[in-house]
Amino acid sequence: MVRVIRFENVGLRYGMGPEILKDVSFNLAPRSFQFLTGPSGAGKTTLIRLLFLSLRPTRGIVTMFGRDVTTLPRREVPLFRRRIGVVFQDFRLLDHLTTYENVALPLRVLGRSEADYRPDVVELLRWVGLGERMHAHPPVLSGGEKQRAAIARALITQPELLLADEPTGNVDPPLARRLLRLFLELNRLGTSVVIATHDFSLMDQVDAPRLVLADGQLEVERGDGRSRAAPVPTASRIRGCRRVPRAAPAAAGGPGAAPAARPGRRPWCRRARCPAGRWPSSSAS
Amino acid sequence: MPPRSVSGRALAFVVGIMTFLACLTIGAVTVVAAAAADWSSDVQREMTIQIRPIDGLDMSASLDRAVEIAEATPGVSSAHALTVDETRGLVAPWLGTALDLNDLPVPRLVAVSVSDPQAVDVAALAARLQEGVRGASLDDHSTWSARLTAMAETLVIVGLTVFVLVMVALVLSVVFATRAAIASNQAVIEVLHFVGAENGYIAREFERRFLVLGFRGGLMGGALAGLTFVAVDLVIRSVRGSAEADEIIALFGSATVGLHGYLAAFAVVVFVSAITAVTSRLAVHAHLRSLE
Repeated sequence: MVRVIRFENVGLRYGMGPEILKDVSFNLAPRSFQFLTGPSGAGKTTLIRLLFLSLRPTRGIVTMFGRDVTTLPRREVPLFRRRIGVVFQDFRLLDHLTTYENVALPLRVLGRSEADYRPDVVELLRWVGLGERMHAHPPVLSGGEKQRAAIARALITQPELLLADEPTGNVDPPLARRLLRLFLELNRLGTSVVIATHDFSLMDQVDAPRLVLADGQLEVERGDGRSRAAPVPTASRIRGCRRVPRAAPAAAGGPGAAPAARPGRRPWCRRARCPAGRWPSSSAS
Repeated sequence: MPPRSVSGRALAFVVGIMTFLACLTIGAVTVVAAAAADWSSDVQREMTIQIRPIDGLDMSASLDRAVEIAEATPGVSSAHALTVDETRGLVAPWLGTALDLNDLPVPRLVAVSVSDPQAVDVAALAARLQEGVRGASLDDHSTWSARLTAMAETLVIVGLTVFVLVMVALVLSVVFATRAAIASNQAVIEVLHFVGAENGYIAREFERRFLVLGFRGGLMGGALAGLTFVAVDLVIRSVRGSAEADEIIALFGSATVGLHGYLAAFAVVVFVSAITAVTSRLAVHAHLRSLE
């Protein structure tokens, strides 16, 4: 089975403290959608940090994109991080940059020129409903706007894996639903999505596997001990998303069909040609 | 990328002060080195032949002979035997004027002017004099000149040491400032890491900021040093003729820094900004590596 991520008997402790994670084993399939849940302090954030290589396991094996990353040299870490988008619980936006610059940051770091990425960034900002706010600085954004800016920053490089830590923790239920649709839409375009949350009403909205952390142990609900690819949410399940873009990678093959193909290769700027009103953001704004 | 907060103004001041000190040092070294070169070339342009009065020596014939030998030497422009009156003038401060030199065994001198110090074979000239003129000896001032050179070289070495110390202090300040900047921009660095920035990218961002900072500070210090040079020059010009100014001029020539000094000051500015930038990059790299 092809996996984006594979954890085998992963354990983690901070210093000489007790193990925060014990024998965690699971797989994430390409284009899968899953929740990561559990009570506060169960290790969700720790697991997310392991997933984007901010922490290294104290034991066990973590495989990412087909490579064992437990012994990955530090200088190769950025190459892996570029394939992963992260939405932090506290957003981690840079206050001295505008929303536009914040979202463009991952591309700037890649050394791309502004002329090259500007249309993509503007289009994505419109897509998440921040078209009017792109020149505002994060301190003057509302919680929901910051949340969407953080999500846009995670999406701009069209990552193969999106990690979101409590992405709806700071927003009201309607906005939470709207953000969820954003993630589902992204997943439909081919990105594997992991959403860490303890918001059951949010999880109940989507029929997706749940990785449940309790006392450092991980259980996969609705599965046989291994997570499996969630059924790609169909357009009909998501209000406001009526169309499937032509030759969407999600529709091009099963989860294991083309592991090497980067999902969502179509640049965001092509979306500009899509008629308005078909994207989650515009329908919900 | 890191915000403007980078304790910028303070560091720019430090860089400015360091540049100022470095420029002053360089200026002083330039002046001393130029003055020393002047002295030693002046000194080398003169030699003295001394003829001791020995019983039975025809002094005027010996003097003529010595002048002849000296003038025949390549590199010598002229030789002039000091007359009796001139000799009396020389000893007058010690012996008074009412003296008959004929009563005293006063040695007589021939002043030799050298046009090209390099061309004169001092040893050969001394040998020929000793051979051709009884009681003659050659004083080429080489001891004096060597002492001067040694002193000037010492001053230059002291100056360069001060310069190096100032630069080391600058590097250390930049290291501390970079660490402070890293600490206050920890969140920014973290985010850059999370979006896939390599250490080199982050270090370059810092380097760019510090280059600008260093150049600004350096320019400030360099301009101040330039103004100081001009001021010193003006002061010396305005008091020219007074005893103090004469003393200074006698020691240091015109005591102005000259075009070389200004160019050196600008070179210091460029050097300082480069050092600031490179130091900050290395400091950032070292810090990022230590995080791992």
